Amino acid sequence: MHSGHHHSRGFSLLWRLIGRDEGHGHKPGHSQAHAEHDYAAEHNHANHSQHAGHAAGSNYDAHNHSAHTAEYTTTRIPRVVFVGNPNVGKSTLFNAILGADAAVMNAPGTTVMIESGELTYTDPATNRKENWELVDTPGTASFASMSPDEEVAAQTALGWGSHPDPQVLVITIDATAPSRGFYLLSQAIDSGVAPVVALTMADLAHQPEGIEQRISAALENIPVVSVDGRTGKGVEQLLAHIHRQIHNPVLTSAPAVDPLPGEEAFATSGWDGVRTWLRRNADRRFQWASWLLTAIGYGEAGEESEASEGVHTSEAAETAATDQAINTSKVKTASPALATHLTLSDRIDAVLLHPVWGIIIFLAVMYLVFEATTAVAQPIVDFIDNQVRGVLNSGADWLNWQIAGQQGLDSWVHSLVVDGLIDGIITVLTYVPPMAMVFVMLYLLEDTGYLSRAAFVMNRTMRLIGLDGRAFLPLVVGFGCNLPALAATRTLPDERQRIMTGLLIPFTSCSARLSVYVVLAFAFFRKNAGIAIFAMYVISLVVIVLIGLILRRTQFSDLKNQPFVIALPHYHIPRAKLMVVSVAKRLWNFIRGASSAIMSMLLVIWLLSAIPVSGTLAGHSAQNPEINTANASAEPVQDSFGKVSRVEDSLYGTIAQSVAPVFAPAGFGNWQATAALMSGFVAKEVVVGSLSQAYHADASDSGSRDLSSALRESFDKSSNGHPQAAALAFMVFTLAYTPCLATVVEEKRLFGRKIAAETVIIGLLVAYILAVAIFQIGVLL
Amino acid sequence: MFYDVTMKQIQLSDCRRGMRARIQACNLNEEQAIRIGEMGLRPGDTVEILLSSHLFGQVIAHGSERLAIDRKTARSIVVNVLSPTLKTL
Repeated sequence: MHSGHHHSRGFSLLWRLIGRDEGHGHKPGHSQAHAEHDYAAEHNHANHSQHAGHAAGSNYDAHNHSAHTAEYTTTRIPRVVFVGNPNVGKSTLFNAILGADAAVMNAPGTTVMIESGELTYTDPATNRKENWELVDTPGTASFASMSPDEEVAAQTALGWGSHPDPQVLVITIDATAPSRGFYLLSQAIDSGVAPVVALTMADLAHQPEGIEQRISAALENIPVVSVDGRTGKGVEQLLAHIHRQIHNPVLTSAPAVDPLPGEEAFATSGWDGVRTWLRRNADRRFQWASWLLTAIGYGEAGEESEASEGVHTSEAAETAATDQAINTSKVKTASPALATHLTLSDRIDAVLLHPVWGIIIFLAVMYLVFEATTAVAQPIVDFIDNQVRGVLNSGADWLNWQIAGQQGLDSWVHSLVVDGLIDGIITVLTYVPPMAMVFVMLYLLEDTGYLSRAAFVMNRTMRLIGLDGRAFLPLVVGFGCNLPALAATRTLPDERQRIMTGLLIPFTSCSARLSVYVVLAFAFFRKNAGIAIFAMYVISLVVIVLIGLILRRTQFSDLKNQPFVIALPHYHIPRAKLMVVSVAKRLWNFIRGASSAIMSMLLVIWLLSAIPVSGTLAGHSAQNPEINTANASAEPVQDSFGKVSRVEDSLYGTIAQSVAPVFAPAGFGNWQATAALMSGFVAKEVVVGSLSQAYHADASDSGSRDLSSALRESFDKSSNGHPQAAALAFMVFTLAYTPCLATVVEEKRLFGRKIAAETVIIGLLVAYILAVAIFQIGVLL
Repeated sequence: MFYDVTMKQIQLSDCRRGMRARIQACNLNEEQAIRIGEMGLRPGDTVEILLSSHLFGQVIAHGSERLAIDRKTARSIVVNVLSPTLKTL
């Protein structure tokens, strides 16, 4: 009944037959010498002697897979894949083992994120070290996947296609919901991969004593261990079991239901064939799960365990024997007391899922998230933008002075360093506080268990545009800043839903756009400025709904509305240390992924601004003759590379002038507005500053030529006497057009180049159509 | 609180707080019905309604597990009411 009777089945066999796998862990008596050879370090990886959360002297060390973990690589070291239902504590367990050394990467050919890392395990019996590759997968109810995330989980577990063959499957099961976990376990057993069962939430389950031993005995001594990812309890035993399964695998002598055929059996039908095959056996798997529940003393869906707790019974339950004789006439009776023993989580849910209080509390929580990413993060952003920038600029000035004196300070190199490199670094750093806040809030919402409740509360509303209830959170965050809003899409369980939400987020009117609204609203609408600004937010919501409906019927017509059944985990108090590790890991991924792209673009914009248009004299402008008159007495200084005094005298300005006519139908076909919108692509916050620069005006209204006056004059001219309509069109264009550079970069990182490009194109199209429509209608009115 | 029960077999969405019911069938396509089962709700399983809301849906106790189901999905699940006892007033 042990490893000598293992079944050669499933994809692992196929891989061995075609020589793709050295067969770690599936050959009985796998020699230690062979293991040493196979475990030779073929990879470059950073060695960390200790990682957080584990006492000195532990038998394993986790270290990052490699310095280039962003790329997916095949490996010959044993591969251990973690699978389980959503919200069972699988990722908490995984992170407890690998900690900050787990790297996040895209599964091959998808934008679904999986975590992976390498672990060095020391056999306590022999003190020999060996490396394992550990892979965490998205939660899935079944290998018969119904979403891209579940498909990645299933294919990774089964070694399908380009996924390497796993040696061990760690099936994480929530001890409070074993029935669901046993269904997946049956599929794991039938895959032929050596299993280890990790039971989580054991402290919360009212389970019969010795549940691990009972499950193991029922399954012919397959290793089963209770673990707690939060405290690390049971992790050492888990790793010891994994080690044994790698070298001397224990498999059941018979399949749970039906052994999964090899990959060749699905050569024509592909992955759909696998899903169909698995669904065909669903009823028998349900029966198997029920059998296992009974075998370990759970009875029918856990009823026996409840009865053993001495639960409160209602008067109705005591007379249950007569319940079958129900007459068909209408009767009324008092609502009975519940038979189920109410937990603290149940009592909290009575408030949080109340039809009235639930909504109020939900909105309050959303407001807290919004405030955290804006008001709380803002002081830190300001500190970075002012103090840190000041220090770096001073340092650059000092260095240039040391190297080349005053000439150094006047050179284009100095401009490149200060206005290009340092500006890029500061820009990236200013996104860190709001991103950190959103990661903290997401962690708290997920780890406490509230996020599932939030999804339930908002499900009905979001279903109107075909999205999961959890899509509400990123959209709310988007009204603060689009960038952390994209990070919040990771809470959605479906890749397609994440992408669709990611396409809608840029249409949320972020706080950076507000500065533009304020300047234009007060310049053109005076007493009605508030109404004009409020209208922008209303338009934002309408556009989100409309674009959502359009996307749902076109690009995302395949997004099926799945039955909404979500497990509500017990409430937990989050662990600070785990939160810090998780947030730090995600922040580093963002910085690593976004910084180079953002900095590259900023350097391009610097370059365009640094190239003077030939023949221009500083202080003299063909666009603004009044400037020439004002500066007539000043000694003209020739612009040079890196020293262009006016935007319009640079290549950047020239490009703006050539693009400006495109906006004539929208009423703001002047180069100043165009240049401002171009700079707004980098960051919406600079639009106002760019307008000030372009109009040579003081935005504070205290200068000789204030910005409001300059705007009114300019828009009146470009709109042929309809400045208010043109201003409204400009505001709507600002609302809807391409989000800032960082957002586009993050879209690319999360969803790929195609979606990022689509975001830019859709944004420009929608913005242009809306702006032209609003102006033309305004002219007619 | 009072509620009406007129049929032995009703939709899960018509169940009210405190009712215990046994799942009989799921009126969805095969793929979706299997998914409901994979989530843990299988014919023959007994559930108890902990919360019922026209706005959100229902929260049911399934053993020691808690599941939230939206109204549309709950309408597709047919159950046999087990309790409470119905007494004519």
